[in-house]
This record gives sequence, C-alpha cells and structure tokens, in this order.
Amino acid sequence: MGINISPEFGGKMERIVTKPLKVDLHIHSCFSKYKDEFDIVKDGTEDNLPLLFSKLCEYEVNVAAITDHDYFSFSLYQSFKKLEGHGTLLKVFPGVEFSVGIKGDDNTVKCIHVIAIFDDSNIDKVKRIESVLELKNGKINYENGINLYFTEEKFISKLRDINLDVVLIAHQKGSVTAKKASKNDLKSLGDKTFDEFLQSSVFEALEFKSMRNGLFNNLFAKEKNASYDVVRFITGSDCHTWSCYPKHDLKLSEDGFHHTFLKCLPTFKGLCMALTDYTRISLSNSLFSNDDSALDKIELEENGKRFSIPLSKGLNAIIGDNSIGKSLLIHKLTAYSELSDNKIKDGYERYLEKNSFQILNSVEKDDIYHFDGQGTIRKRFESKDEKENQSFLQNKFPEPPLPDAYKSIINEQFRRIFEAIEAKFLFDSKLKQLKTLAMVNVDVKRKNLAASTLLYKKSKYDGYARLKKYFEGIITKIGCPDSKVNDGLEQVDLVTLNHIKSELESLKQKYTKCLNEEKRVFNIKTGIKNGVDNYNSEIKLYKDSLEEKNDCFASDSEEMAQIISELVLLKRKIRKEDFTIAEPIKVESAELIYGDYKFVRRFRNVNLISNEYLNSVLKRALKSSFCLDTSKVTEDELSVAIKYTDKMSLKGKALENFKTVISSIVDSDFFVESVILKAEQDVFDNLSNGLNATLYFDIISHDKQKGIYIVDQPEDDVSQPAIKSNLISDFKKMSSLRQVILITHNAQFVVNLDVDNVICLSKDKNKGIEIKYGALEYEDANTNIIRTVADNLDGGVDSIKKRWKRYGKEIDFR
Amino acid sequence: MEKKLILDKDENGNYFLQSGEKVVPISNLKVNSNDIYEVVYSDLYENEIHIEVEMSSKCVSKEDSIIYKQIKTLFKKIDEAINKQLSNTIDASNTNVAN
Repeated sequence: MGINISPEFGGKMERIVTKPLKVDLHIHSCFSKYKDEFDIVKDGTEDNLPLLFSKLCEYEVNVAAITDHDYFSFSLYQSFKKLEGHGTLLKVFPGVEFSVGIKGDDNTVKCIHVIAIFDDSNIDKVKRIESVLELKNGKINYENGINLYFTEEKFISKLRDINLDVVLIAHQKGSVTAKKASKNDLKSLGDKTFDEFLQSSVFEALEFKSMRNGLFNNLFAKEKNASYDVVRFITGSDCHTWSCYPKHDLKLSEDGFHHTFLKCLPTFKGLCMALTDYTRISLSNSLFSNDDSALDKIELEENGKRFSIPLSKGLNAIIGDNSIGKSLLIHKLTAYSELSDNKIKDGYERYLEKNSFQILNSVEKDDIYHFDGQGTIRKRFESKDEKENQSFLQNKFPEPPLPDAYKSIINEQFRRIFEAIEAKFLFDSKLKQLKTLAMVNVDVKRKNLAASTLLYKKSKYDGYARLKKYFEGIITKIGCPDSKVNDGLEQVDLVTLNHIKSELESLKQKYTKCLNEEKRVFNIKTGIKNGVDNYNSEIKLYKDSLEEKNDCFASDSEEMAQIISELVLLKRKIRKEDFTIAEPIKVESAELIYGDYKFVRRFRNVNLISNEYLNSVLKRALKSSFCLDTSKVTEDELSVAIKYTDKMSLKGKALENFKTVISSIVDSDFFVESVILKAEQDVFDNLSNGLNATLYFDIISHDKQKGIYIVDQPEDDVSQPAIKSNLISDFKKMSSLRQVILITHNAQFVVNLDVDNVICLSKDKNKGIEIKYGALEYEDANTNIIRTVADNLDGGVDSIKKRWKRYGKEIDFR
Repeated sequence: MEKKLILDKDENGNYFLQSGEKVVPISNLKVNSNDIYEVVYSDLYENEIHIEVEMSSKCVSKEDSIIYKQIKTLFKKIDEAINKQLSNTIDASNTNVAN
C-alpha cells in the first residue's frame, strides 16, 4: 500500500488511561455501495486507505472502525488493521452497520441502523463476519423479501453466527427530544419502544452527529442518568467520502463535527467499559482534571528491586491483602503529615526497615486536598466537638457578601426621614418659644408724673434756739448773783438789774415763742416732705412698672418677631417624607454549590431593598399603634413610640434614640449568616450536629479546590447501601476534579466506581511484594486486572460478573 | 405680597386683630404670639412680604392709638425679620447654585 507511517503512539500499550481516546466508530467504505450511491463511497477503497489514515491522524483519531451497511470486507479490515499503532491510530475495530427491522409502538416495522463493533481479539472469528454477511447475486442477502433490512430475528441470528463479543450502537441522528423522529433512528420506533430499549441495555450507546442535536441529547441523558446510567451518546462521523472526512460526503452541508472521547484503554474490553459508563464518555478532552498537584507515580523499592506504579489523574484504588502495608504506603507517601500517632508511625518505620522496603517519592503537604485515614471520617462527625465539625464546613463557605453598598442606599433613605423629623422637632421647639406679649395702654412720661420735693432750711430754727439759750443764760446769771456781789449792790442798781432781768425775760419769751413757731412749721413741712417723698416713690414704682412693661414689650416683640420669622422658614422644611425606591434592589448572597448542597453566606433578614423592606424596618422600630408621619410627629410621640430592646440603654433625645434603633435593626438584618441549603431547606444545624460520612463525601465531591484526595477504606464510614446510592457517584464526580487515591476492600469501590487504576499489593511466593496495576480493562499475559479484583475483594466477582455480562452479551431484544 | 391686619375692638372694649377670616384676640392687653404666627405664616410662601396694620374706625381714643402703635411696631419687626430671613435663604441657595 506504500503507507509511510510514524509510530507516534506506537509501542507498548499503557496500563492505565493517561489520555482519553478520540474515537470514530462509524466510517463507510466503497463496500457501502450495496446500499448507498456508489458516487459518494467510491474513494473508500483499500488502496485509498492512506487517505483515510491521514484524515484520521489529522483529526487525531485514536480508535476507528469501518462499518459498511450490512457488509464486512475482511480484506479491507485487515489492511486498515495494519495501520494500528501508527500515527494517532491506536486501535481499529471490525464493525458493521446493520439495517434491522424492528416493530415499533404502532406495530409497524421500521428500519433501524445499528452499528455493531466486534471484539478484535480473535482474527478467525473476525474473518467469519464476511461470510455470515455473504452477498447473494452481488447484493446483500436480507432474506426478507423486498425489504432492505434484516428482521430482528435474522439480525440476532447473524450476531450469533458471527459469535463475537459485540457492542451495539443505535442510530439516533435526530435529537431524542425532537417531535418528529428521523428515518432509521431508534426513536422512530416510538417513545415506548425507545424507552424499552434504553432500559434493557441492548444498545451500549446511541449515535448522533449534529452538535445541535447533541445539546438536546445531553440534556436528555443528564435527566435520564440522574439516578441510574441508562443512556449514553457518542458521535460517529458516518463518513462516506474519505476525502472530505469527517463530513458525510461532498454534497451534504454539515455543521462542525465533534469526535467523542472515551476514557479507556484501546482494547475491546476498554471500549465496552467506556460505552457502559457515561462518565467515561465526553465530547471534549476533559475526562481528567487539570489539577497539576496530581502525583504521576509511586516509586517503591524492596530489597533493591524498584517498582514504578503510574497513577491516573482520576481514581486510583489500592487493594490487597490485609497487613500488606497499604495504609503504610499512603502515610509514608505523605511523609506521615496526616498521622499524629507516633506509635503507629514508629511501627510503620520498623516494618519498612525489617522488609527492606522503601517508598522513594512523596506528596507535598500543599498538594493534598484531604487525607482521611481509617475511620477518621466517622470519628470526625461522631465527635461532640462542634468546632471540629464546623471547621470542615466553615471553609466550604464562600467569602461573605459585603453590606456597605446596600447599607448606604438604606441610610440615604432614612437620612431623608430623619431630616424631616428633625425639621419638625426644630419647628416644634421653636414654636414653644413663642409667648404672650403684654402691652400698655397709657403713655409713659416720667417728668409729668413726678411731684417736686419740699425743701426746708433749718438755719432759722437753729438761730431761735441759740437766742433762747442765750437769754436764758443771761437771766440765770442776773437772777442769782453771788453773796459777795449782793452785799455791796445798791438798791437802785438792784432795781435796774431786776428791770433788765424782766426785759431779758421778755426777750427770752419772744424768742422761745419764735422757736416754738418755727418748730411747728418744721414739723408741718417735714410731714409734707415725707408725704411728697412717699408720693414720688409710689409714682416712681408705677412709672417703673409701665416703663418695664413698655420695655418688655419692645424687647419681647423683637424676640417674637425673630422667632416667627424663623418659624416661617422652618415650616417650609416640614414635609411628609416617604421611602422612594423606584425599583427594588436585589441583595446578593454568596454561594458555593456542592451537588445538592448550597453553601450560602447571606444577610440574615434582607434579600430585597424596597420600600416594603424599609417600612418593615420602621415597623420593627416603632410600636404597632404608631404611624409615622414626618410632617406631624412630635418629639414626645416619637419618644413613646420607639420600641426599645432590653439591650438598649438609650438616654438621648427621641430622634437620636430612633436613629440608634433603626441602625441596630439594619445591622441585625445585615448580619451575615451561614446556611447550608438542600432543596432550599437549611440543613446546617443537622449537618453540624451529626454530619455523616455520606454527606461529607457529597460535599467534597463537588469542591473545586485543588489537591489530591487520599482516603483509607471509605467503606468503613458508610453503610453498604449508601456506597451504592451515594458514594459511587460522589467519587466519580470527585475524580473529574482531582486525583483520588483510595484504599479499599470493597468491590463496589473498584468495579462499580469504575476506577481508572487498580493497584493490587500482595505477597509473592517468596514473600516478597507483588504489585499488579492497571485499568480495569487491562490484561496481558501476566495480568488480568478484573480477575485480580475478583480474587482480592469480597463480592467482587459478583460485581464484575454483572458488569461483564454486558461484554459477552446475549442479545435479547425484548 | 402684602398682608393687611386691622386693629379693632368689640363693644366691651376688647381689642382684636383681624386678618381676613382669622382673628387674634388681645385680651387684657395681652396678645399671644402663637396666634400672631398662625395668622402670619399661612400666606408666607412668597419670597417677600409686607405686613400692614391699620386701625379700625372704632379706635379713636388715645388709648387705642397707644395700642395701635405697639401692634404696628410689633408687625414692623416681624415684617423685617421675615424678609431678612427670606433674603438670607435666597442668598444661601444662590450661593449653593453658584458652587
């Protein structure tokens, strides 16, 4: 054929899947000419295989099959098979696209196209396919009259005659949810029959091509497979003209074709495994996580003999005898970073030394997502230490939402309310300052009303008093001369003296009379003066009172005028203020979803900022009987209306207290609470009090945090039914996010979980360590992983048999 | 706008102020400034106000004149204070606009 091939993918087959396989199990050749127009398949000849090969390599296809309509060319297959291991092509399977007449819901027989991919391990049996489908008179021998399809019975009979393990892929070119089914699609049989086929697992997969239909099919599969894996979709190019691969032919216009990726080894068993587990199928190369913390291998040495065990980026199950050192392996691999018991650690070290056993590489602590040693999960959640439970849950929550932006909107709304209340209170307070003004109705003139004071000069009175005293003194002297003077006094002189004395007496009396008169006048004048003074004093008091009233009116009217003018302006500021949020504002919470669980940090009592919410704040701040009208409320009313909690010791004014209460309510509403919602019910309390391992796995299986998850015997922590109902799907999900290394004695964790790598540790005949590893489908001359699993795990055989039955299928349509 | 008040008295000689339908009693030569405010503020939504007080034809005595004089003085002060406040407010709002 002259094919120049480069062995890029050639060489020894890998034991585990490190890279998903890109497949196309539906390619036609010129041997489809018995059914299709020759023109469109004419370039599909054996000689032209290099064209197909180059196209497949261009599209990096790893697994391919030529599936002609109801015909098989062994020669073409053989030539194609020779390209296996070259370029990107790792596997070529023999296959046929059968036309099968099947009775549908309406009891009429419809022709369905079914791709059959056969086990390629027995070349003689493969060769027999051609003879089973031998042509008759250059035509396909349907043995069905004029019908160009095999009956169900004939189809089954043909498969039996071929006698090879087979996977069957039914045509479903149209969307399964489309109202009108496309010709030759399984769905054309009707919903009931279609569903029966899905449930009976006759077909490993349904094939479509259009990506538009793929979207609907994926949604359908997601719904169908929610509880049980019933339907799997893959793509097939259905290429008839190799030169335009992966298009159907040169004429047909198509949107972009996406190859399907399968997580399996390039073997028939691998194909079977992949097509019986939807988690192994993807339209993108995303079947493994991109987590670069994954460990690529475990390196061991025993008595100088080195073992290098490759690890899958997905699920790695370590199985094997008890006491073989499985737990030791993972603890040593993690440098005992998760082992606190020094006695166990010392025991492990002694074991390693005694058996000359070394683990040569290790995992960095930062690369470990979680390490759950034996029984630690159960222990953790049986612990009454809520802190321990909480700490696991707490770091699964998102960062709390920030309230500032929302609070500023609320504060702005309340600011206007507070301002309006303040204006009203200020007005009221000013109004209280208004008082009654007293006026006077007389003219107040000081001068006119005052009486003149009487003035009295006392000098005249004093002069009379002195004269009286003077004459009295002279008379006294004259009337009583001393004896010496008397003895010599002549009579004449005595008469003269008496005369003088009498004259003096007259003078004395005269002035005494004057004095007395003056005394009387004085007394009268003094009385009058006192009267005038009293009068003036009273007048003064009266005048002062009027004056004061007058002055008081003057100053009071000044003050009142000022207050009234202020009131006029304050009155303008009084208004009935309401909340003015036109469009309610949604308050966002922060949430992280882990499967059925939503870890939410949200504000305790507010999810929408609206006028209703703001009014609810008011209602909680004020007594129910009170209706706040900012244009009417008084300070006393507000003071009485505010609801105080016991914690509040408010001594401020009503408005200040009101502000404090509002602020306290808003703060309380914006308290960030952490809830875990399942079906919108908060289950946080249940979780933290008794979180069990099932829920634990449920949560961590959705955690997108990077790192390797290492777990020792998870089956110890959950019931057997829970493993089946929950844990298998949890671990599957987990494996798409991170590398998992698990130790198990439970077959479900290996077979049902469909692990990517089984590592079996056992003792060989010489009591040295024997390590077998590989994907479940891996087998070579010395290793058969499925058999190893069956030999080592309780119940494993049953699990495997159940799965294996599908490989060696006995066709039983209904 | 202009606001007119009339000082009047009833048959018992009790004074009162009349502003449209509103009446401010002056009982025992005492007038309540709250009543005055009530009379004044209701119309004060203009930016300027002039309050005029007139005397009724019944008020002819010297005593009447004395009362009238005081009332007139009072309202003159109110008039001035209000207009000053209004003018301050306008100035402040203009400043804010300018800013």
